[in-house]
Amino acid sequence: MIRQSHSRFAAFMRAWALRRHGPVHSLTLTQNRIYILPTRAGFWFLVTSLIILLLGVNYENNLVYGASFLLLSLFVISILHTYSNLAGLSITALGARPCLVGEQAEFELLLRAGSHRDYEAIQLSWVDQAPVSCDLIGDSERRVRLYARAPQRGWWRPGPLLVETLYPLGLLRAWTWLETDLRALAWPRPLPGDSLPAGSGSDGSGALLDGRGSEDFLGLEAYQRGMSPRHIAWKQLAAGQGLHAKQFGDQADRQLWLDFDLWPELDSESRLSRLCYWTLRLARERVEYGLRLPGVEIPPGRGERHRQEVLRALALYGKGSR
Amino acid sequence: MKGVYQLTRPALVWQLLMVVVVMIPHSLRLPWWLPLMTLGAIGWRLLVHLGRTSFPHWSVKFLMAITAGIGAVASIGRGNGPELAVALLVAGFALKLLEIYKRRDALVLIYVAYFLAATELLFGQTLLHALYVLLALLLITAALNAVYQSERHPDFRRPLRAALRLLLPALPLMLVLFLIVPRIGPLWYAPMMQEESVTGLSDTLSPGDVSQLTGSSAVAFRVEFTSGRVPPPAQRYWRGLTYDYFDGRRWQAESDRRTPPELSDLPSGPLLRYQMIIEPSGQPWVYALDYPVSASWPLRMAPNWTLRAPSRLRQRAEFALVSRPLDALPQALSESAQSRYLQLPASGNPRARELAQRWRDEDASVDSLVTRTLALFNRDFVYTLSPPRLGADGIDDFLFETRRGFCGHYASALAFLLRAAGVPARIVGGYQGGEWNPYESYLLIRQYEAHAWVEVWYAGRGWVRVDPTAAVAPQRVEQTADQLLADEPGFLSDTPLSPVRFGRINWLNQLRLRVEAINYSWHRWVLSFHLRQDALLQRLFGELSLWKLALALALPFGLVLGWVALSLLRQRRPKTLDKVDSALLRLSQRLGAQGLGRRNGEPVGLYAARVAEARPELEPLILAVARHYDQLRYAGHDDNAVRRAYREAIRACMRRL
Repeated sequence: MIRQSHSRFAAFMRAWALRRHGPVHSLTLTQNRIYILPTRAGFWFLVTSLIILLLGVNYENNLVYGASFLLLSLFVISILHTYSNLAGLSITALGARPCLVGEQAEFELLLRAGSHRDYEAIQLSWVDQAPVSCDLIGDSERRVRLYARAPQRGWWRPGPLLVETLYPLGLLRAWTWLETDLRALAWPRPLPGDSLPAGSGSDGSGALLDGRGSEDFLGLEAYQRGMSPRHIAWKQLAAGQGLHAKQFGDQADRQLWLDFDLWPELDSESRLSRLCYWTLRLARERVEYGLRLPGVEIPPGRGERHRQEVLRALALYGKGSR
Repeated sequence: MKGVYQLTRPALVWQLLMVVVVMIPHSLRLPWWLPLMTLGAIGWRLLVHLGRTSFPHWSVKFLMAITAGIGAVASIGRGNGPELAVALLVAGFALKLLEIYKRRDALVLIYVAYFLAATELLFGQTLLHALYVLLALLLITAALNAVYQSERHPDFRRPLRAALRLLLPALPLMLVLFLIVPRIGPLWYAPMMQEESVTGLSDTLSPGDVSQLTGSSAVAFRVEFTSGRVPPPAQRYWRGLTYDYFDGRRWQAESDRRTPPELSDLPSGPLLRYQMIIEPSGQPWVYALDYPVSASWPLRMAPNWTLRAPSRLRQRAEFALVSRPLDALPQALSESAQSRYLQLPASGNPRARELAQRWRDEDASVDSLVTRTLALFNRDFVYTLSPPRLGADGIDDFLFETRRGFCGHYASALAFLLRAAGVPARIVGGYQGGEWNPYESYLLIRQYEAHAWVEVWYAGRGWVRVDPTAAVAPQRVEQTADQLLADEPGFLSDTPLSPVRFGRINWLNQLRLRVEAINYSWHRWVLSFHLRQDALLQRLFGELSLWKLALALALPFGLVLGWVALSLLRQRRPKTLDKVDSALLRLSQRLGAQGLGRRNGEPVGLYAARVAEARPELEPLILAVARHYDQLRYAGHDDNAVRRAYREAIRACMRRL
C-alpha cells in the first residue's frame, strides 16, 4: 500500500519534472533541475539523532545534547554535499546502437565534470532498469554505456534518464530526470523458419538453400568481426598465419530475394520477423540477398552496410521515415 | 532494482575500526566476556572476508545471542537499567558483525555505533571523554561514507577525508544549536548511570573517618564568588552537617526534619554571594560558608543552619548561595534542643568526664572551659594523619594516652568535654580551606580538605565556632592542606600520582592550576551549560524573543552553509603540473597573448607546427621544444641533459617574444 503510493508519488514527480523541460542533447545539471529529499536511511539517521537528544534531555547531559546536535548538523551539511555531487555535471547523449526487439540496446552517454570537481558514485538508469554506477574521480569526463530493452520495432526512445546519487552519507538522495534526444533502432524480433520457400531464388529455379552453403572452397580472406566462426581457417591460425576465414564459391554465385510475400500465411509483423531472421542468417553465411517489401526494394548485395540497410528497412516498414 | 550490495574492503575495514573505537571505552565497564566476544566476532568477520571460513549458521548466531543476553542480565543485574541496555546493545553490535554483507546491515551497525558512542558520554564527561567521542563520531562517519563510496574506486583514506570535510563545518552549527536550543527538564525518571558511590563526609563521625578522606585528592566542589570579595583562608569554613548524637564511639548526624529556622534573627552585615558546582557525593549535604542566608531552589535550610538538597547528589549540581560572615549564630535553644546538645551516653570515658567536672567546679564559664581545653591540646598534643588506634573509651585514650590525632579527634574530645561540663556543643562536619585558581578565579575544594570542628553555644551569643585543630596545628587552617600534609604517610595514599603531590615544583604547579582552570571552565560552560543558558542568552541578545532566537539560529547557519556551498561548488582539483608541463603552459600563455594559444587537446607537436607556420622566426626553437617534450614524455629519455635542452629552448622562445 505504502509502496504503491510511494511509487505513484515517484511517477508523479517524474512526470512533473519532465513536463518542466523538454528533451535535450546535452545538459549541465543546475539547481532548477536537481531535486533532493531524505532517504529512508536518512530518516533513520534523524531518528537516531533524536533518540540521542532524548537521552541528553532525560539525563540533563549537555555533552549528549552536543552529540545529537552534531549529528543533526552533519545531516544539514550533507545536504550540500549530496547536491554538489550532481551540480555542474554535464550529460551529453552520444548515440545508440540498433538491436533486435527484446534485446538490450546500448546507449552511450558522456559525463563531464563541471569546474574540475570530483563526482563520486553517480547512478544512471532508464526508468525501471538496473542502474549503472559511475564516477569522475581524477578525470574530467567519462563515457557511460547504458542498456535498455527494445520494446517494439522501429525507432524508440528509452524514456527518461534518471541521474541520482546518495553520496556521501546516503542520508539524502539527489536526483534529476531528463529526457534525452537519444533514440535507438529496433529491428524486428527474428522468427526462425527452417528453409526459404520456393521462389526466393533469383534464377527462379526454386533451389533451397541448404543452410550451410559451403561446397566449393575458393580461398582465404582476412577474418573480420561478424563473420561466422564456422568459417575460421583454424589450420592456418594454428600455423601462426593469423586469423582468416574461408571463402566459398557457391555463396558468391547465389542471389536470393527476401520477399514480403514469401509467407502468405503469416501476418505482416511475423513476416517482417521471418525476413529479419533470414537476413541475419544469410548475412552470416555471406550469401547475396536482396529485399522486397511493398514500396521498398533493395537490390541484392552483401556486407555489413547492406545488412544494416536491409534491417533498417525491415525495422521502419510501415512506420514512416522518422 | 536494488541488487545485493557487497561491502567493499575499505568499507569493511572502516566498520571494524569503528567497532573497536566505539567499544574501547565501554569495555572497561562491561563484563569481561563482552569485549572478548566482540574481538572474536571481529576476527571471525575478517576470516570470512579473507575466505578462510564462512558466516556462522543462523542457529549458531541465535544461540550466541541468547547466551549473550542471559549472560548480560546475569552479570549486570536487572536493577542497573542503562548499563544493561548498553551491554545488550554491545552484544547485539558484536553479533551483527557476523552478518554484515548488505548495505542495510552495515547501516544498522553504523547507526547503533553512533548511539553507543553518544552513550559513552553518560558515563564520563571530562574534556578527554568529549574529544574521544568526537573522534569516534568522525570514524563512524568515515565508515558510513565508505559504505557509499564508489565500488570502482575503493580507497581507505578517502572516507576519512570526506568525513572531515563533513564534520568540520558541522562543528560551528553544533555550537550554535548548543547555545540556542532551549533545554527542557527530564521527561521521565531516568535511573542513574553511576553505581551508588558515597564520597566525602558520611553521616557518622568516629575519629578515623576523616583520615580516609585525606587519602583522596578528588574534587569536592568548586566555588566562584560573584560578590567579588573572597574570604581569607582562615575563614573558609564550609559547613555541611552537624553531628549531634554521641553513642560512646561514634557521632551521628542530626536527622530530624523540623521547620527551618527564622532568618530574621541574623544581624545585618555584608553578604557573600557565590556559585557552587558540587560533584556527586551520594549525600544530600551542600556546603556553605558561615552562615547561609539564602540558597537557590531546591535547597532547603535545616534547623542547624545547614543546607540540604532534596535528594542525594548523584550528579554534578550547581547552586547559587548567599552567606553572611558572622562570628556567632544567634539562636535561642529550646529545652529539648538544649538537652539534645548536652546528650552523652550514660557511661564511658570516665576520666574525661571527671576532668570536665573538675574544670567546671573551678570556673563554670564557657570561655574558661574552652580556653582550658585548647590550652591542654596546645601543650603536647600532636597533629597527625596516622594516629594510633583507640580503645573502647576513645576520648579517654586520646586525651590521656596517645595525644595524637587529627581534626576528628580534637573536635570530638572538645565536644565531649564541653557536654560533660554542661555546655551545649555540637561537631560540625565540612571542609576547610580551598585552593585559589588565579587563571579562572575560583576556589577548588578537594576531599582531603574535609574537616571537623565544634560549635559551642554561649548563652546570649548563640553558636560560636571553635576549631580545636587550629590550636594544635594552626597551619592546617592557614595553609592549604597539601602544604601541611605533604609529608604525612596517609596523605593522598589513594592517588599516589596525584599532581597535587608535586605542588612544590613551581612550573608543574602552574601547569596543574592551568589544567584545573580548563576543567573548571569545561564544567561551567559545557557540563552545566543548561544552568546558565538563559543568563548568557539574555546578556547576548537582551530581552529574549522568538524571532531573535530564530535569527540567532538562522544567521550563523546561513553563513556556514553559504561558505560550504561556495567551497564545494568552486572546489577545483589541485593542479598537479610538473616543471615540464608548467614551463610549456607559460610559453603557450605568452603565445596566447598574441593569438597563438594552445587549443584544448591539441598535441604539442601539432601546436608547435601551427606556431612555426604563423611565426617563422620561432620555427627552430618551437620545434625543438616540441621535440624535447616528446623525448621527455613519450620516448623515455627523461634525463637531465634533455631537460636542460628543453628548458633552454623554452627560455629562448620566450626571449624572442
